[in-house]
Amino acid sequence: MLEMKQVRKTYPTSAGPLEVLRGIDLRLEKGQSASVVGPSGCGKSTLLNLIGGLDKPDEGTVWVEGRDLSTMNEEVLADFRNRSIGFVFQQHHLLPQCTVLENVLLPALAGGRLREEPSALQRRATELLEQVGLADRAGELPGRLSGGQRQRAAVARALLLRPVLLLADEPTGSLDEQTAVSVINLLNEVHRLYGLTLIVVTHSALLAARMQRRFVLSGGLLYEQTQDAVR
Amino acid sequence: MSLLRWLIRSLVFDRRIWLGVVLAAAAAVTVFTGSLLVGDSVRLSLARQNQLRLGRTGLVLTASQTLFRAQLAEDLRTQLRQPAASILLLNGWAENAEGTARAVNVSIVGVDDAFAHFAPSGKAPWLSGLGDGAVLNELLASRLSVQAGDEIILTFEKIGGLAAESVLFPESELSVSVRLPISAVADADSFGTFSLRADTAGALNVFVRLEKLAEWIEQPHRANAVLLPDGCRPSAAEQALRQVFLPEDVGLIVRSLKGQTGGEVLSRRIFIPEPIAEVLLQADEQTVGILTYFVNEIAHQDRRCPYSTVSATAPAPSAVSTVFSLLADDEIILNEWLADDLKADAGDIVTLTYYVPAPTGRTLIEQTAEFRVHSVIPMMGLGADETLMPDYPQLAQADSCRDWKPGIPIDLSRIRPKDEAYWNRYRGAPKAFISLQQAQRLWGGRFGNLTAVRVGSSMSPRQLTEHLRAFLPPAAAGLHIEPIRQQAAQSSVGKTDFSSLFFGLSMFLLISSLVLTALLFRFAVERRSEEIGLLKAMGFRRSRIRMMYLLEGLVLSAAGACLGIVPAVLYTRLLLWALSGVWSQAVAGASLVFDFHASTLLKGAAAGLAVSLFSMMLSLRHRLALPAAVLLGMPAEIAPPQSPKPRFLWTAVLLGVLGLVLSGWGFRADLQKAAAVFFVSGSLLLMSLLLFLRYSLSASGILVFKRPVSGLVWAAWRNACRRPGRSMAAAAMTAAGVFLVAAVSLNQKSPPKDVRNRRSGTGGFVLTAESALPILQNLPEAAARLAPETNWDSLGLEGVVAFRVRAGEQASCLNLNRAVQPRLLGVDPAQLRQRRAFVFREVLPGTAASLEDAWHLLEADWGPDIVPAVGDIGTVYWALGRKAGDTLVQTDEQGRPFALKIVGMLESSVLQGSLIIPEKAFLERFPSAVGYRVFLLDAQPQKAEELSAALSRTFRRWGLEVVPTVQQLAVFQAVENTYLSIFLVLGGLGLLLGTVGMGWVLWLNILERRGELAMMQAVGFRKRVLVSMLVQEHLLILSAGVLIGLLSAVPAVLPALAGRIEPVPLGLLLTALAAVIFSGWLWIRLAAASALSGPILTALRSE
Repeated sequence: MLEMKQVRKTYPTSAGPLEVLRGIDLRLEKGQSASVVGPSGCGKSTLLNLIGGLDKPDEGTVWVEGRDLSTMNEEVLADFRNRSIGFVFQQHHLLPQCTVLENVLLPALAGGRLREEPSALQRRATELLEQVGLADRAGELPGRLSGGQRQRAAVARALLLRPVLLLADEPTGSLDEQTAVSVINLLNEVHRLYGLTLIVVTHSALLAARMQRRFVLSGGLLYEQTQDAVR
Repeated sequence: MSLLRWLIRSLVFDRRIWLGVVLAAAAAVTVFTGSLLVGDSVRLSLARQNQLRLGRTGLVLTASQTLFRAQLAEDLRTQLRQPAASILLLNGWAENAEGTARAVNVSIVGVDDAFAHFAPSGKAPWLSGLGDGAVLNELLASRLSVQAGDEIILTFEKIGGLAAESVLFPESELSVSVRLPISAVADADSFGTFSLRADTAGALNVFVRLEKLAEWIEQPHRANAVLLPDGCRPSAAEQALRQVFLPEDVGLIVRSLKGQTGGEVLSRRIFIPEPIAEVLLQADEQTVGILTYFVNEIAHQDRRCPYSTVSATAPAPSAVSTVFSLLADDEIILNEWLADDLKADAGDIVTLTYYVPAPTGRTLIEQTAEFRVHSVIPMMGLGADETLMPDYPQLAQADSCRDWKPGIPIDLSRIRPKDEAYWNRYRGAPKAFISLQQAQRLWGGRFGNLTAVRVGSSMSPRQLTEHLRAFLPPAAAGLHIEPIRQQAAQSSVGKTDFSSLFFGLSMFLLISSLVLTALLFRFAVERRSEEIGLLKAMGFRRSRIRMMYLLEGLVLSAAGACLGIVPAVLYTRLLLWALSGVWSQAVAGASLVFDFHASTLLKGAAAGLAVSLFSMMLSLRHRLALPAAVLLGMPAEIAPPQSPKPRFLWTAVLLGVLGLVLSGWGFRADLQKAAAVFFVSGSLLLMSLLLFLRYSLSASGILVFKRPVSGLVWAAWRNACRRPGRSMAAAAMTAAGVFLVAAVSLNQKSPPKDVRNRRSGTGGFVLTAESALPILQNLPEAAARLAPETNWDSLGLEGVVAFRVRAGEQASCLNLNRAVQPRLLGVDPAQLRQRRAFVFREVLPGTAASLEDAWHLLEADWGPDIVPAVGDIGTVYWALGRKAGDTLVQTDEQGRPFALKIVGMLESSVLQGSLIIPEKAFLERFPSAVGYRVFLLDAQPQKAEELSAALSRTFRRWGLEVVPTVQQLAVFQAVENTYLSIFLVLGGLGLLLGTVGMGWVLWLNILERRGELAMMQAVGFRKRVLVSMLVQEHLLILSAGVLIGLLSAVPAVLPALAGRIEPVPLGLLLTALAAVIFSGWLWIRLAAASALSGPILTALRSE
């Protein structure tokens, strides 16, 4: 499902080039869930962005569903992301001008699918909102939701187009403990329910522990916990 | 959720920011549409002016050499079955009865009732009350401060008879003065502005009864123009003319000869013009040409016979002239009376003494020629034929020799009783005969080579008329049919496209509004960076995102376009108001009315919408190019690199080099390109320096951040480097303003310090003069003759260059219409060459002429039907749209086309408005344009006022107006300076708008740092210190902007400064610069004060 081989990423900084990822190898099968932990600034988000096709490695390759992301041009990659990958960010990034339901439906606006099958998508969005417990808030603007509710809405949005890979970057980072737990439960639930592959970047030990595989990113290298370094 | 809903929600959500964008876009639309509307208004005003001056006239038949029957209009009316009106149009001058106000270049228009048909409304109510009085148009009435019931004195040319520069023309025949009561004042709607010439200043008209005017100039029942209605085709009019014109319409008199068979054709102007003579001579086999001349003396040895006529006829085989067939060029036949008087016989030598006009001008030269007597003929038939003498004015009809008053000096004491007796008995019968060939060589000239043509008995007057109609093209006889309506349409398009002009003048304003639009849009987009990042992350294609945002932009631009229309109308009205008032010199005082085509509003709105959208697209492009992760505010390790982008440096270097190269090339480029080249090179330098600043801010940003803060200035510079893009935007606004101010103010024109500098626009001449009526003689000589009591030497008149004038349209910045027939001045080029007067801006490429000395180009032969011409830059380039080497096709008096070849173009000068051609070519093409009307005077500046008054007084009858050349030059320069002022004012508005943008940038900068500033306050920094820090920080940027603006303006002002004789207007530059800097400083203070005004706690919380 997901395979990374010798992925390297360096950033130029005022202090000189900074090698964030120094040769990452990673393989995840379909339906697996994984967490990546590590200190701030170690490159966790960079890793997630490379997997999600939001950034490109300097060296190495990333395969998702057997497709090499580096061979795709921007447009093809955008379509692939829209179809196959869902994102949940630390900040929910809900559009403040749109209602909760409209936010959930947003990914369908990208390829014109909303125009082609509006009622089916509308139905699915409503189901997803029911599933995340926001059915009664569908018509509200995000500004009137709590932090946890917003993150739930973001999860619903990520699931609208049935992605095969769900990437969550610090999904509980800005939530209180109780709310974080509910979001963790939700992620586990959708992982189980939809059989998708889930990768979570987190500082939360609780959340990391709930994943099937647990990785630590340190010094630009990825280690799987309870085992030796993957590489 | 649909795209439409998303759009509506986004627009509503960000409505406050969008309102700013809409207003800025509306400003762009206002400026753009306003410029187009000004163009429309000027064009439509000119068209309206032309409509009012021509009324319903479509064609006009004019006579360039003579007058025709007033009845000709009636004949054409019958033939064409369309209205026609004869008019008599004369030049002159007018003054009020008190002599306190005078107007020169007045058109005296003789009209009859048919004139009313051609009025714009079909009515001219004042015509019925015209009577023996005069009707003035409003412009002239106001100039003379008169009204109905007052009186005026009119002086006008007397035309139609002997050409004024012929030897025997009496000066008393030059003009007529009459005193008339004013019946009414005619407004534009009742045809008061009637004029055959497209001149923005408008005609100064006096209308009088046609029959009265014709009588005053002793040409009863004559006219010199016929108006034909719009819709009448030129070909139909010409056809009709050929069918109805009579010999007398081309100035001929056909008469039968007393006691002889056959008839004779004479000219009302004494000499028969060449093309007419050629046609007449082919009338039949018996036709002969005759030339009879007035000689001062015929002498044989010590015997002299004064003041006689000598005749010549062609050696044709007819009864009249067989005697001449044997005559050699040096032989003469005497009549018996003369032979007796001189005691001369066959074989003797006689000498003829006579006057001829100088090659140019009316200076008389006395010449002699010797002949051998061939034979003597008796005092009968040809020997005593008084009909051979033309009808010389004030001579032929005199009862006695002592009543002779011809235009030559006559010594009456030389007239003997026997001469009186001869006059009484034989009148002007020629006393001698020479060969026609020799006579034409001696006495022929530009007015013609024959004084009569005699036809045989087989040719009746009717047949002669038919012959002329069949073989004489009307144009060759000086009858021209001009499609005046069509010409008006061409000229009303205007020499200047005011839409483009005001678009150019408002460019800075437009750019400012677009920058503001882009800035506000960018700000809005920046605020939604996360949204863009999210959309990208969710798989929205870049094109899709662009479309979504541009859709918003489109709605905003459309709203701006709609909102900008009404202010555009107000903006136009404001501009027109200014153009009718403080800026009226820019439109030559034209009366402009607000008018437009509805499509212009749409065009303006669409164009404004397009450019606003484009500016939004540019601001969106950068944001869309950023990775989603960056847009989503990812962690620091993937923040964009802080290192300076080398592309800024390379682009800066490239643009800088390009700008400098272009600037160098601009000095060698032709005029058409030079202005644009200098502007472009200046703009390139501006961009180059701004990019260099951008690079420096990034580069030194890294440097300063590596070092600890060591003082307020250091901190200020660090802050300026924090947002290099914004800092550059603020500097760019200032730099553009300074660029504009410097480029415009240093291009302001002023009169030269030394009026006698030959290289200046005055040509070194101190005075310039123009007369309403032609002055036939050399001005100083005429002055001495007319006012012998005046000590002309003491008045400092050192020399005069005189110009002949072919009336035409003013081709200068004082006429908004495009001159179709520009005024031509004929001059002896040597007069200007010897003085090395004026400097050329451009000469014909490939010639050996230099810019300091190119007048000899007017003396060169450029081939058949090519006449070299010189004009000043305002005339050639701006008014006529030509350059050196171009040609302009014109038609001469005989309807022959010829090309005016521009061989040189002068720097801006007092000669603006006309094209200058060599006098010789002038006389060949326009033989009937007599005398001189324009003068440039070399004089002592300190005595100029006194000299000017003396000349005006002496040549009052000619309507001579004398003005200092610097004053004349200032009138032309005022137009240019007014345009620069408009540019400066509109640029100032742009700058104002620009400073709003700059203020906005500063406010954003400072607002973003509110938390930081609050924190500094919290730790003990005083507000005063912080304000000082902010001011210093932004003053650095402001100073950089000022410096960049000044440096980039250098190429734009170099042409104006290079070789400048006039003082450099530094005062204006410094004042304007101070205004720009003050405005920048004010915004900085306001932004800083605003940011530090709130409670510290609120700012800290928001942080």
